[in-house]
Amino acid sequence: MRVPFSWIKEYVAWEGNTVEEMAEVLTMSGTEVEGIHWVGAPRDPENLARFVVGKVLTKEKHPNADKLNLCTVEVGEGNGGVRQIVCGAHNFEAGATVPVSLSGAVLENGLKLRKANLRGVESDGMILSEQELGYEQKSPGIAVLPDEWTVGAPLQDYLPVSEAVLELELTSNRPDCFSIYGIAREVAAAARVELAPPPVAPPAAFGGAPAAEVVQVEIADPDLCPRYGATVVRGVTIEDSPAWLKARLTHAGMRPINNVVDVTNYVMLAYGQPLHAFDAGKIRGGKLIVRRASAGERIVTLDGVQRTLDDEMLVIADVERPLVIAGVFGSQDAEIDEHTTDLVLEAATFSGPSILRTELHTGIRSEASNRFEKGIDPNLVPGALDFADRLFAELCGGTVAPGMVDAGGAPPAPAPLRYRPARADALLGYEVPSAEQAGILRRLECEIYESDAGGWTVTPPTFRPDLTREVDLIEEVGRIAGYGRAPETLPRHATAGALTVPQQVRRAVRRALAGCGLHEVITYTFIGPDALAPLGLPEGDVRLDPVRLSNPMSVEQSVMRTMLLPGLLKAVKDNIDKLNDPPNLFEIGNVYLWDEPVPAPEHAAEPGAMLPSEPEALAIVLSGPIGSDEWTGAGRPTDFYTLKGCVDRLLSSVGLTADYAPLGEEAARFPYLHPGKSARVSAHPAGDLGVLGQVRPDVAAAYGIEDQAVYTASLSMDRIAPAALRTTAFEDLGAYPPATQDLAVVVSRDVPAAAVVEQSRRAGGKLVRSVRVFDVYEGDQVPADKRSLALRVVMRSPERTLNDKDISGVRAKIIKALEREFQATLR
Amino acid sequence: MDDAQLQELKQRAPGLAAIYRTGRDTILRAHDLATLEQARIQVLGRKSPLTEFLRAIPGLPADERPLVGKGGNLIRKELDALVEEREAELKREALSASLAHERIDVTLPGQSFPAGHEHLITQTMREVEDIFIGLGYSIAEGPEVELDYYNFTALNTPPSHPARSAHDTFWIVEQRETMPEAVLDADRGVLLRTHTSPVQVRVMERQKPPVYVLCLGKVYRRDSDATHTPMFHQVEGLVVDEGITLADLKGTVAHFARRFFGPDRTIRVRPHFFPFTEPSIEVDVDCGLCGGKGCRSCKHSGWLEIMGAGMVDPAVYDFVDYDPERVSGFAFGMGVERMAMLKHGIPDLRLFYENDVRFLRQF
Repeated sequence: MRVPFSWIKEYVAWEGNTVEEMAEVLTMSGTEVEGIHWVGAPRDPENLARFVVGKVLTKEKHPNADKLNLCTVEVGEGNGGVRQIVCGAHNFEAGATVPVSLSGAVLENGLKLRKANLRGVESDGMILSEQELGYEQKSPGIAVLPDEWTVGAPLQDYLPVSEAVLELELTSNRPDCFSIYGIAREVAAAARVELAPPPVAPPAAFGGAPAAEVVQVEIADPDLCPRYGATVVRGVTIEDSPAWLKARLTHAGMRPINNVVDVTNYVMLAYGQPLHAFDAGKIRGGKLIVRRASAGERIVTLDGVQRTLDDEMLVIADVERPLVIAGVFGSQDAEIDEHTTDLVLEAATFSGPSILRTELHTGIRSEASNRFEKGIDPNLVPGALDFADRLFAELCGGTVAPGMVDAGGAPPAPAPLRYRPARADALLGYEVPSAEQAGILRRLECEIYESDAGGWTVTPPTFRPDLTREVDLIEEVGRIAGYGRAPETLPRHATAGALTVPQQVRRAVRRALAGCGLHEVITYTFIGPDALAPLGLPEGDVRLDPVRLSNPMSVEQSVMRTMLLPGLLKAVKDNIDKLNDPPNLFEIGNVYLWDEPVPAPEHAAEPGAMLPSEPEALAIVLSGPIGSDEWTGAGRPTDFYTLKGCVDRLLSSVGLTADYAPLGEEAARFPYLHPGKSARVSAHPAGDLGVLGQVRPDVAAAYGIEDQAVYTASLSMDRIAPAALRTTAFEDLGAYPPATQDLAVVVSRDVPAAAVVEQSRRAGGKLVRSVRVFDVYEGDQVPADKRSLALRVVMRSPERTLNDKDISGVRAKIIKALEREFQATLR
Repeated sequence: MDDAQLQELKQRAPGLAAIYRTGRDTILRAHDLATLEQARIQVLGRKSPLTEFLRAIPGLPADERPLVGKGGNLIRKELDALVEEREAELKREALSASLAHERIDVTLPGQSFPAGHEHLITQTMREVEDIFIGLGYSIAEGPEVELDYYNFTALNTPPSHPARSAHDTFWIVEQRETMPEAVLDADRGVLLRTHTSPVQVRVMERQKPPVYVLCLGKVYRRDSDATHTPMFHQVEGLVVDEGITLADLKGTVAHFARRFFGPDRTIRVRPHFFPFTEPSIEVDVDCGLCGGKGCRSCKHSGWLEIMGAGMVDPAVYDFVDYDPERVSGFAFGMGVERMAMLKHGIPDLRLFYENDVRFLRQF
């Protein structure tokens, strides 16, 4: 909301204090000031002194220009007396009081005014229009001011030539703050200054037949409209509003329309009650009916759009047709126009949730509906009608009919609340003396009845629907007293904070993978429904049944991911598209599956409601060398074994030793992996952990990665965690030295190296500490279908130094076993 | 052999003294390892004057033998040591000379070890976690696909609240096969959580006070521009215990701000409104760029908003069966990305999700 500083000062004593001080008071008491905007002409005093009230002494035609007038204008002794000014407007005569800017003034639009020669005549100054003062978009002529204004006085004394506008961010729980008077009340309470009475004085005089004889009101649906007040004004003249009113509306962010509409908007901005003025002549049957629309009922709203209503929308209708979508938008049928003379003025209270629903369904939101949706105090109705009727009489020439039609009537008084001042201190953690607490509550217009030593009975005002409990009053006391008074203390507790094992595992795994040179990414968890299509998953696979959003922002973000791979492949492609090196990435995050849905607790949902399971997954994607080419040597090209090394490292970082095996039967579940370069990974005692392998080149190409071989691993964090981070038992370093034997064996190519190692270890007996493949050779030196594996066997005894006989014995046992099992030959 | 000993030897066995002097000079004159070897043979070899001399001892008078024998052996030891010393010296000189030729260009780049990076969001969350673990908090987790009940109802959010609308919140198409016919119409049941607060409710449902937890994770709102992404990360804290006050909240938040942003920073607390806290506050930290004087980054206010917080609304305790007369508590919440942006000066939220390696490896 925008609050012009000169306007709010009408309601709260702020003389001698600045707008910045008011902003600080508001922000620190809960009404956040987002900014102070200076509008109008530059605000320095020298400039403002050049805007004065003037009186036109003579007005003649310009000797050399048909469309211009030559005027002499009295601008006061102190301003040089009489000035000759050329003016293009015609809507005034000699004797008119007008706003004048003297030469040297800088106008609202930034133009600097200079003495000028216009068609051979000197013009010294300018007679201003509302447009030039910044009060409206386009003015037909100059502004004509009331004759009571003192000629020669600074214009700023009467009109905001320069204005500070406070821009407020309001919270939805405070409908009372959606008015300038309501904000003034906050300022008064927080700064302990005087608040003026509400600006709701009734008109000075009434006339004609009482309102009730002109219009009747029937509330058919009181649940959506607890109160509907109406008054009648006769004989208004629809014309432009005076400059001060245009200024205030414009500075508050609304556009001036005509005097009647402007008055309704002015009262809404000042007092918070939206109003609606009907042309009395257009209400058929002399009756307004507040009712739900019938489903399918149509109305042509003011913007010329025909809208179809449903039966949860409230309308104001006459006996024949709906005239207004209640609180939201008027129709063309009952609106005032330039011929309107008699008004029926509505001030009503509509149900906030109903207005909100209508806003959402129609897409219409207005200053009025924005206030109604927050919930408005029904007690504003009579004051708002008086306030507006007085202005209709003063500004529109209307005669106000006596009496107010008041359907629904005043609401019941709010329930009194029990309040314990000591409780406030206990919750806030600082002491606010009870006399001060009482003062705060009273300034906020709560009524306090002392009941007993420990507590009071407090009745909040009806404009504060947010005050329903003791704790709500405590907040009022706290915020007005100021949270700056609270000391900074820490809870005096004794709980022990720690990470759980899965949380520690997550950290360790991330650190390990970053240590391998991989970058962690975070991708959107929602993907497109076709994002998995290139993977060729088998029909019926659970990964093809995603959690779907009913209101996605785009198709590309319409289902929750069931695997991490598509997001990572996209990240690879995006990096390559930006001419980055092919990246090596990993992600840890949830996937969302319906295969093992989690039943909702009974108290929290309808029976049968289910949540998807959210297993935590880890995926790696490698698309390029991990080290770069350098003058010290080339980076190693990435292959399956690079990936396998990363997986080894991440598992060993949490104390697990990985086992790998060909996919076998399971290959069908991973059709996107290279059939010859993929494996299953498991670890004891976690069991199966996931898969790794090369992404089929055609699949990678479908994700836009053409030139790089892509390797991927996907593992279950949920399976890793329970087995991880066990305490490692110390293993004796051994007092006796180890012995090392290397042997190269030639075996068939389909014998897995792991089987050779395992067999060697087993056959070697308990002296063997480790067996490791340190070279693999395929080529001319061995038969075409065979390869040579170079093994390094490390032996050690805990009891003695091994001798040649021990060593050759182990070697012989291993060779014999390998010959037997794999027809291996020594090379 | 010092001078006094040499003088004594001179007087008592002038021949020996001369052998010693000549030998010493020969050894010291050697200028490389080859001449040193020659000198050694010359001075100490089988045909050297010293060997000759020692060989002649048995022919000397008996009373001279002990003196001359002892002196000869002493001189032999001395000269042996001298050769060793000179050898070490010459080797060192030779090494130095050869090292002097082994020049490298120290300005060439060093070998680079592949350095991966954890995502800045991960790093930021870990930093926040560690600060609160230090204050005795545990880290709680919960589902991202959540029930309306935990996300809104139990957090005192009225049924008509705008946040619940399809405009602001992502709703989920439920697995209808598993649901009875009657439920099918009520399509407002499952959503993507809009904050991590539902985790707090779940924690309170299964645990009685004292509660000191931090909840972190992904949250979702239907919004997308330079300052909003439809998915982002949040950290929320919850404390419920006996005698917890707003001053405790303020102290906790101030401690966090100083640990996270720096020891010199100050905070201020402003009243605000949230459905699930009462009183509610927003917390600002003084702007690090302008030192609180006002600049573009703080919209000329000198302050940067970092979190929303407040005392847990008693209405929330109703849902989890806590007694508001016995316990009180506070909750606070902040955006992880926003924290990281403020700390590192990152201008655009979307950078976090573009996963450009050039961004990732900066942190």
